[in-house]
Amino acid sequence: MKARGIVTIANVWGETEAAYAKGVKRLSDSAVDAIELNLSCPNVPGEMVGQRAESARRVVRAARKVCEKPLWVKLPPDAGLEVAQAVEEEGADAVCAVNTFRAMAIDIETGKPVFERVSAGLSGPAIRPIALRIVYELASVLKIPLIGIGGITTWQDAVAFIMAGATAVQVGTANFIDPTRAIDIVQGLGRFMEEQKITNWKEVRGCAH
Amino acid sequence: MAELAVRSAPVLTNEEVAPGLFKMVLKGTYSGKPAQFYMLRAWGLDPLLARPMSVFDRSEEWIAFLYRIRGRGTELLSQLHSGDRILLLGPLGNGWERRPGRVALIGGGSGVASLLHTAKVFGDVDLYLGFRNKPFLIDEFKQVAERLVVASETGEGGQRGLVSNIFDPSGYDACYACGPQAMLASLSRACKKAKVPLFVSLEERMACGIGACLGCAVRTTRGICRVCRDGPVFHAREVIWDG
Repeated sequence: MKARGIVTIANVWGETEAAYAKGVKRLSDSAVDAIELNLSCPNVPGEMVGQRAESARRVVRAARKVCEKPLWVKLPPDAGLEVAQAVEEEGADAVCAVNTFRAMAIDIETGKPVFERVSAGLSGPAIRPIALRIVYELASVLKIPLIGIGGITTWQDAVAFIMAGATAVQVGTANFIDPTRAIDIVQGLGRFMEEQKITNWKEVRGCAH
Repeated sequence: MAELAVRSAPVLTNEEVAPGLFKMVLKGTYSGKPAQFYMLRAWGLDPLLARPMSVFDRSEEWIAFLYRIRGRGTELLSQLHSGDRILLLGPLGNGWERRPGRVALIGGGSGVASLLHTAKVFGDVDLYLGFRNKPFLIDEFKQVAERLVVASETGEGGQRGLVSNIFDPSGYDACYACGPQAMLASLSRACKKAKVPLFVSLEERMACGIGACLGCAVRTTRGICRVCRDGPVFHAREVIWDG
């Protein structure tokens, strides 16, 4: 990917503080451009450290010590502003919000949960308005860049997240519908800039506040 | 990434071939091996995801899919008419290849969908089909099999019982199966005992079909594999059935 000029950001999750640090160290020594700490993954076992400011602080501190690359921290939707502020204080370069929402489905024929782990992460357009609200709130307390995530499927969605205060956005689920969807979003953003005579996104970033 | 582009195709026919079961034929030239699949959708963002479907039949001019109405997506697909357009991505997955010698194909429930095309491409196969109640599309299957054995749990239209209990792997050089997990696990035990290689095409819910979402993970002796990208075809001895 490096050879093709693709910017690569690695997402890392660990079961313990030490595991996080070990993973971050290895990635920091690798060719990746930035490291995203996953403080919340609803699809794997373990405590969601991102839900508590103290545990989030400890993990980010341990990671920061061994990380020479930009360190991003991805938060669960229910993290709260204190967790985001703790992450910022520990030296994160950016906050990514939000991860998926824990959700479940029940198969009414068997009467059992559909997912092996009972709950799983809900993503896609269903979470977008909630994610947008969280990004908006985080933007009012954070000084470091905020990367907006949550159901962004069209370029219009991306614009809304920027207007809420995001410096960049991530697109996940929309790629599952169409692998070229991210390209459509980038092109749409370009057209919007031209039409609105925007030369730099700074001009509209956070304008909804 | 040209081969990974979503394409749009017109519906030629979309008919109910058995209660709740539809056969949809799309116009166009398609490639792919038996047991490969396509992601299909005929809507914008609601429902959100495409539906994975194996190829039921194919010619130079069209491709056919067989599906059962299971939820809102398949309900919407069933309402399409000739001339309506559908979006599809594929062919995806690894597919399976015919081994030389005597070959048996075993299908259960909606898993029979991929076996018609397989039988046509493979040629010279014995076909074992299992149904819950009344068998469907038997005339079409008859035309592509050397020998056709039909079983149903109610005894309608064939032998009463599970196809996995009726099927005997001895005498075959290779077996290929698609159907419910319990059926595949049972066939896997029988083939292992008879020392006959069994290839299974697994069915899982999947969001993307291209290896990105990790939603269709299965446990194998090679570690956790994605049904869409590493499969859907696996050697039965690789799959950890109890997982």
